[in-house]
Amino acid sequence: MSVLLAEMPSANALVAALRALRERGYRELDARVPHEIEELDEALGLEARRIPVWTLLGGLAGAIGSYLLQYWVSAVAWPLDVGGRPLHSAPAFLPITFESTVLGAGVATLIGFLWHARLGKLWEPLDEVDELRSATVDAFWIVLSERDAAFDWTDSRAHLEETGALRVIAVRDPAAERA
Amino acid sequence: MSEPLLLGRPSPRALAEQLLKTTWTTPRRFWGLLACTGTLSLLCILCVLYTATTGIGVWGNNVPVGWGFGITNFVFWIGIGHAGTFISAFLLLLKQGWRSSINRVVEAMTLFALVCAGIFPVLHLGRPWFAYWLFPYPATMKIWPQFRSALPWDTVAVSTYFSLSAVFLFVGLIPDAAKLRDCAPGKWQRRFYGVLALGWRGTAREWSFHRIAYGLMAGLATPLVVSVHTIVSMDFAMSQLPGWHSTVFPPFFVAGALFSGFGMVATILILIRPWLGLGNVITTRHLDAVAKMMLVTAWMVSYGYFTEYVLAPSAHDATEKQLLLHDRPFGQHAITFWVILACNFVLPQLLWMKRCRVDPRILFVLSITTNIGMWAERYMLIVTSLERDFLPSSWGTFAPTVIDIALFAGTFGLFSTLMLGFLRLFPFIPVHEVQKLAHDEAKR
Repeated sequence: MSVLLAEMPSANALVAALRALRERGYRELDARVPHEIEELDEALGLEARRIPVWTLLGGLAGAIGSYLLQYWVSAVAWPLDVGGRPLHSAPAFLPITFESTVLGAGVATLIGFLWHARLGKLWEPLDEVDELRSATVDAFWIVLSERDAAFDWTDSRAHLEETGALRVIAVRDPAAERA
Repeated sequence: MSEPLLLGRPSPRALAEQLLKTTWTTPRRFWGLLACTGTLSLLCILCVLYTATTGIGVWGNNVPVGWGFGITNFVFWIGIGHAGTFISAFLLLLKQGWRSSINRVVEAMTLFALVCAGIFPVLHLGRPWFAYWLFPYPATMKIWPQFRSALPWDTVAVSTYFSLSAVFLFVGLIPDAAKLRDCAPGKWQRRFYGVLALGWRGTAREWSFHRIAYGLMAGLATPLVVSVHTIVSMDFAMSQLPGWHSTVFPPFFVAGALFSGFGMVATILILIRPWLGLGNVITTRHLDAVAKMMLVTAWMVSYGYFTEYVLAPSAHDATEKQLLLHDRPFGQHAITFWVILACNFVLPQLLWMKRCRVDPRILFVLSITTNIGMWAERYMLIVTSLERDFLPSSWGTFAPTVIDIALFAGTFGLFSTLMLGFLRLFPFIPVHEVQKLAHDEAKR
């Protein structure tokens, strides 16, 4: 993948630059930043967060699964008469049901997060760009992909420089160059 | 509160440099400290091995006091963890900016306190190698856990708490692990943190999902603050024993857990702040806030004592009256009663004064007395109630053995060793959160 990388002086400059670039019609934009910036989602037009669905389903699975297990163990598999109390003693099953709900929801949230954030890919071609390494530490970078309809090596570089970038780096994919 | 959360206007670069530094350079006196805590944890390990191989008889527990030091220490360590979750999860939901600088310290504290707590009930089983019997699994003998008892509830509550605390700590650590990966000086460090970072690159998409997932996990961890110690208190409250069979126990235990936990948070913060030179990110405002929480929870705990003693004279149970009105304040273990009153009710009142909240020396002393008081409280609850049952013929006394004391002391070594190790491997302050805090503060 060929991209243009632009380092911005601060988080605010990055958000302003992204807004300006989107106004110019760029859509294949991304940011690489060292800390969360609340305005970023809106500046990039990101939405669709499906993690709460995972949480809900995990919680339901934990609740229903643990209650049924307790019921089955206490009333079916190993019915034990404790002082004539009912075998299906619902109030006594609630603490474990509650904890299992939380556990199921938490584990599902973790899995959903790893899945949707696409974590787990330990290497990708852009990792070879040494300058970009500062993005996780303390620098703010804009990544503009060549796949963008409005992309042009010279014009886009000029647009990025106009937004106040400290430096712009062109990364050309050798495989794409040959083709 | 007008004092700043961060001193100065640090740039993202300055913060990253300052806070990541502890991972690359060994802080002064580190190895000396590690040698001390390591020796103490060796004591812990030896006591665990001795107890496991010889038998539970090396502890002071015996009928009628089946729950001596072991369960006291278990409740003590579990309680410590609660303040950690309260700060990292509950205060995140309340958008309390001051939690950002200290949440990783306290999350690590929670996790390691749970490790220490777990040792005791597992050894107390007598045959710790059968601990897996606590979980429902299809055994060849077709025997299952008894879910009407409070003890399997405890197993589920504590293991859920441990798992979610670990997940919460890990998810918060991912962006910082990526920072460490990308400025690592050597190949091995780069690989180690690279695996932990799971390929985090700081893209907008990653941050967006991180915020949602972290917020949801905070929402899930918050009920655990309340429910775990509620279930621990049910180990007591579900029984018929005078002094235990009480409806005030769940909220009273939760308040006590938070009180002792905030005490431990204060102890740790006051110790590491000057040691690692973190005065600009852990400010007096943090100490002030933690001290105020200690004061609030001390009053909640005291309200619990108050209710118990107001209701005691009207109890219909002679044994309960005898226990609360005579045995605890004037009996064999009376000293614990008066220590509790001094440490958990009288001394915390000093925190009404601002000087005591922001002076690290005074707050340090109060944080230690808090935990002495809270440990004594669990000891008194367990031992005095078990010693004096309904039948005088089954009365007995409890005295800890050397192993009891050494094991308890050893867990402090284990706890400190784990904390030191964590401190050496990871930034103690969440760098990305403090960078965000600096960004947000600059906006205002």
